[in-house]
Amino acid sequence: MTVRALLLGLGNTILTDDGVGIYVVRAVAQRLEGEPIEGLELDVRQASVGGLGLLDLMAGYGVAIIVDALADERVRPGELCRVDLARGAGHEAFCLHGVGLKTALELGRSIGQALPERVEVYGVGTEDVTTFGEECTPAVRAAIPAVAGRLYRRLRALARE
Amino acid sequence: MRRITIDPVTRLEGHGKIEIFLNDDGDVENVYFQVPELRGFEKFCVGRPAEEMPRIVSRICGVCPEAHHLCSTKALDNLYGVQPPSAAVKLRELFYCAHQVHSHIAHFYVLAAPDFVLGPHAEPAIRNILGLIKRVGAEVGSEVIKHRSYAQRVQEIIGGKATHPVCGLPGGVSKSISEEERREIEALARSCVEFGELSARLFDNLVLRKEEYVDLITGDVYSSPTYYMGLVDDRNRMSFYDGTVRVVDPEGEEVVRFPARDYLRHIAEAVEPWTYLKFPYLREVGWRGLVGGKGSGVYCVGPLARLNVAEGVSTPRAQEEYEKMYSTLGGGPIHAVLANHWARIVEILNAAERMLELSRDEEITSDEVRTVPTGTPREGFAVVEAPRGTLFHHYETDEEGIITRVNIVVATTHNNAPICMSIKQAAAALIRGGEVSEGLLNMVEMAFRAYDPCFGCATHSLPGDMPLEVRIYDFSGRLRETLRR
Repeated sequence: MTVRALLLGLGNTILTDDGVGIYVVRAVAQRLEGEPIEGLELDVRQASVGGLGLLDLMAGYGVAIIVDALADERVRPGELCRVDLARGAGHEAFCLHGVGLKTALELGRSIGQALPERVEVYGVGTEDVTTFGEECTPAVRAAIPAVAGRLYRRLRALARE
Repeated sequence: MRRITIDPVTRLEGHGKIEIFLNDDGDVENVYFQVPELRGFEKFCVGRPAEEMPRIVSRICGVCPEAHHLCSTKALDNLYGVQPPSAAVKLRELFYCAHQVHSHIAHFYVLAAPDFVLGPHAEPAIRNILGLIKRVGAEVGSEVIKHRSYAQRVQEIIGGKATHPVCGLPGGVSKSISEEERREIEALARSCVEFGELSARLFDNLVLRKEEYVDLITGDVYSSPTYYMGLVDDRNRMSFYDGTVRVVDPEGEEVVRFPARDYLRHIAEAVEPWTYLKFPYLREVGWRGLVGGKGSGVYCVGPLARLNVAEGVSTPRAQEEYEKMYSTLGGGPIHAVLANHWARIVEILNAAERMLELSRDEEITSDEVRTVPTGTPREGFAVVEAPRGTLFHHYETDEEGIITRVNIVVATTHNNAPICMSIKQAAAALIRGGEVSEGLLNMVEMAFRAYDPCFGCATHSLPGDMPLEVRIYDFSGRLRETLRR
């Protein structure tokens, strides 16, 4: 059966590395044009919202893969890491009004919204998310193709499951 | 000096870190909050055409892009010396009322209500929106999410996009609305009025009927008499979209009223050696440090400040709630910081009722939504009431309309001094002789949150939902103890 999936890039493209999630999904979308993935009904979207604002975007999908900038000293700029929602890590994207993704999902489900059964969150390490600018720092920019490649492969694996 | 750090403040936009400095006796000496500052905004804007500003500024804040977008659009009207047609003004106001409803719903139900419904001393694990819904029922939760979406939908119809609107142009808006869209907005607005009524009833049942909560709201710990600033219309009624800035003293007497263009004549900024935060104050009164009262130029903006500077609100049901609030908490300006939550209820009602009125206005579907500017640009000023308080935009350009200078004063900046003062008060009540009482974090958080401060919210903080952390440092700055929950 075809899986209905959402690849969602989050961030702010005028705050240097903050937009990396968006740049990554754009790169994935470009690759999908040449190499579409069979068995996956995929929408690629970009947004600058978080928390409750994500619920409307995710409604109706079976799987959602979210990519966002990660401001965490333990993660190298450009490094991709999976954020484990189950272990209590939430997700406070920038428009968050106090609700992390985990809470937002629980809230949405508790009131019967049709939300994805599976939500995977990936963060890309950043160097600077507080300076206005339309380009990523060099290390982050250089990592975008590789990160996009890993996400493309993840999507392909999803289609085969 | 001992230093206590609370980091991060949960349920707030972006990162927020509170630091409490104790004196040699172990009592609270100074308090400040720290946020990562966004850098380089002016540099980013200089050299760009002024017309790009409404779309750029909507990206500096993820929480109130609509407020920045509209304020910027108004600054462009002023820059080009153009008056938008009446239908365009009404569409902007309708859009903006929807934004107020959208923003206040989230703050009230997600951030504020859990403290009252679950109790200020409940564990943070349950003192949240999920705990709230368990207590009041899933139907209320559905209504909250539904009406947030309704308000968003109205913004999308007029603004062109669900977030980051693109409708504002100097001299008007980019498109009119159809009769079909008008009917949709009318139905959504009607439902939002009913939701406002529900919110007022819930507030009455869950908060006002409980003596301990009314005592908490009116108690000394959360009382902070200052000057207040907000927009009023020509009848001194509270206004979100346009009007005159009015300032009243802690006794409610008008001190000054001024148009946006005069903001720098009345507002100055003070610096203190112990923080990089700047503290705006009233020039007329002067800076006396972080103290309240009539002799200190500290002023406050936001929902409660707006109602404190006004003599009423423009719609009937909101006016009833406004009168109830002032008769319950004692006439004149209300200095109880936690009353901001009640003020949000009044404003949800007012904004929803006004949405409904405007959706029924016979001019609202007019095609005349733009006056094309022909003036030579030089300098533009604007003011709106963002959900969190008064917002000024000020641009200078060359005669080609290319930006040469930008200044924006946001609500959280206006409120820097009052926020520090409120945190200090709450902390002082719970820290004596170096002993930190149980409940410090909750009480400090509640003070902080009432202002709904919004920092460089474009900053991400994966992983979110972090617990509060208090760090206690000794004189030399050595970390002695870390408390987590």
